[in-house]
Amino acid sequence: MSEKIKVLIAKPGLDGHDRGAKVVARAFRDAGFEVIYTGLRQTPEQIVNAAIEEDVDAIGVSILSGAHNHCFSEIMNLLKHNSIDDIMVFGGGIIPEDDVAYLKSIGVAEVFGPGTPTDDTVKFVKANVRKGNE
Amino acid sequence: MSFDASLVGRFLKGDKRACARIISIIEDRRRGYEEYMEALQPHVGSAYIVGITGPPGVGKSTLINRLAAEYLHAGCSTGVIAVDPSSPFTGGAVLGDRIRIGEIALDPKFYFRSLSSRGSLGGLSEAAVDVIRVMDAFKKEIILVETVGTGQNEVDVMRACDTTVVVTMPGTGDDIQAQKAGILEIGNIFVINKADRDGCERTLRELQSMLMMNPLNDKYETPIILAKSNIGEGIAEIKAAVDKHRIYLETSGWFSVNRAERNARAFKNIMNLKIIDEINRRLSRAENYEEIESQVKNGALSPHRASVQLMEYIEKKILHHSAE
Repeated sequence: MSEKIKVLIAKPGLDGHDRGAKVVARAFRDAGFEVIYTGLRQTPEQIVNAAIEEDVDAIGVSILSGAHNHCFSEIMNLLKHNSIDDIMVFGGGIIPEDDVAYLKSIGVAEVFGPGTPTDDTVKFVKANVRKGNE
Repeated sequence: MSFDASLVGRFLKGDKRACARIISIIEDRRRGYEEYMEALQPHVGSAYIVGITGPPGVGKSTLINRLAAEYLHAGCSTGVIAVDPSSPFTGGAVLGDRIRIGEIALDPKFYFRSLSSRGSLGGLSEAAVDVIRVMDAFKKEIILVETVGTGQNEVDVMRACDTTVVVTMPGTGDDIQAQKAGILEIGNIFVINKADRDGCERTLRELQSMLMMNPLNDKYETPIILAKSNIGEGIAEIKAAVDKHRIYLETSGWFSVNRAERNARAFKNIMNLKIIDEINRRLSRAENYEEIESQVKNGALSPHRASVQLMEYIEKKILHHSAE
């Protein structure tokens, strides 16, 4: 038996900068996670559909375009609409402090800004996903 | 976690989340996963399974997503299972095959699942065969299975699928020589992808001459298809070739023979794994097991001598004990 923690790393919106997303994906891999990477310019619908099909434990959303409030709330709404409450959502990218508070208020578990050591992100996810706590 | 009949109920009604969860239970080999396989068993058997294999970088993912779109447009409920390699060091994996899914991602008749090879070296993962069965029970009419990029010996796919498509590309001339005894033997259909690249003619000739050396079969001629899957060229031809191979299998009787063998092999593989697990579990309780292991590590005892000692232990203490 080998239960792996699965994380979807998603890039919504129109910015094409996926270096950060790839670095984080790699860090999760190196920590023994299974990472599903979906590529650039995914719609919230595609992200939630991928999360469902792959049965992931967490969705990490990387966004640098400034559309984070819109994209995250779409994703959170779609999860709610599908009555999904066991997938943790976290984020990364250029997101101002004020917006972080808003994102947390709609259910985003944590937001990791530029310069966050990847270890911190990995530890946070490991400690907070459903599977890790069982 | 115990067996959840309502999960199966939702699965049979076509609930994607239930399907995803059951796949995870089976992929992880969670306690009681066999009960789910058992519950789905009556619903397995109607899907046609196509394996897509070939070296890394020849365009398997792109091809498979184009082919899936072709099947969806024809009205077929379609599943894709894509296997990517796991890290030999951490067991982790980055599964990136979804990147190539185009506009079909949200088609309600489509289901895509990524799998990590989880240390398996045969091109698929150990659980892949069972995941195929789950998708079959989920009423997928066509299931496309993409292996990890393969070299010579990753032939599991042939054993798990009805039709095996081997994808290559121009400029792999020497590789083809090297692969003669490997994956090139298992193809029912060959595709030379990226056919606009230099050296396509040569690769085609080499494949043709290799196929001419295969035993003659007057009922089925292995096709070689030129494709540029990034722009969709050759995809309809691949689908037509799969249909043709399917008709051949069904009219020649090989279809049911192959499937019977597949069932028997699945049974044997499962038994082997369970026997090995159980014996190892009991063996690790042997009082001198750690001692023997450390002697092997420091070279005081040869692995062969140690294996003889432990086999004696298995014979005396485990097998005889159970027989009583």
